[in-house]
Amino acid sequence: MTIQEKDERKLIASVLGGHTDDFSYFLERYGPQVFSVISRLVPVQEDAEELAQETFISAFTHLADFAGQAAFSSWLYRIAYNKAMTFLRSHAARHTLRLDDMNIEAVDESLADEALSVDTEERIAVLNKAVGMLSADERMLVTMFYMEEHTAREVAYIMGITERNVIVRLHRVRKKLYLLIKRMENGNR
Amino acid sequence: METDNVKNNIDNDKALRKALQRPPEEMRYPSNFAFVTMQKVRQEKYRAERRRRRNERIVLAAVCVLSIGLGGYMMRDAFRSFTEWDFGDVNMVSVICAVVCVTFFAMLNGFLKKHFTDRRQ
Repeated sequence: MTIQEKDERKLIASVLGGHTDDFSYFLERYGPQVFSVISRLVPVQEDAEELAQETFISAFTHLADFAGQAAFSSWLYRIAYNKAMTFLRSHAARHTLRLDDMNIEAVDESLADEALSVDTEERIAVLNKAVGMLSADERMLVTMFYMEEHTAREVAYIMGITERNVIVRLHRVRKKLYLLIKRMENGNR
Repeated sequence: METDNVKNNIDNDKALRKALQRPPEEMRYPSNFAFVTMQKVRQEKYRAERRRRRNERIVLAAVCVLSIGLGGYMMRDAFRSFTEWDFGDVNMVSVICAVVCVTFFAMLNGFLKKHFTDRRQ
């Protein structure tokens, strides 16, 4: 257990003991990250704000249930993910581009490797748009893995799937991104 | 093995990582987010406290009603003979003692309630 985790445990105990104001630490510490993750899933400012607030309120009311089986941040992301998915299910889902499964599986891993490693300004802009075309689950997966740099195990805990499933899906998303890049770049020509 | 493979990929996927670092267009973290959310958290705590007190009162009222009912049922014979009771036999000293005791416990209850409620808040 790291020093930060120990301090967080103390703060959690303090909040549970009635010192509500100590909860502001978690808001200052994780607020921007939680908002950033939610805004990837629900890219509407007001909705993302509301969902981020609901995440923290839910974390506060269920704080006693936090058993410490994962880092506090992972627990928060798990709540945020569930809130965002419930929201997306209850609202008209954003149109996501469907690609033929056969096409995705046919992509060679090395092509995806190359496409995702070239960090030119143009490629980054195209990739940013391509990420927006992924499904909410896929966006969560790449956000957690690449942006927040969580391990496959942590991502599995956050999304409620198996570690193996995370790895399989990641490989698939990389190939899908390659196809989206190719499609967009061909469309621009 | 597969985890290592993914780890290698993450190191190579520089473009994807940089793309994800850029927030989606027109999305910005509100500067007053922590303040506004903390207010909502306090409101939620207040509401939860009110719910808890209401539930406590409901349970207390139910227990009182049941106790009175049970007490009445157990003391039914005493109540029946109550009408035949001679009030001239009641000792005034014991009545005064009982009133003093009840007043004392009521005040103690009020003091403890106030004291512990203040500390919790």
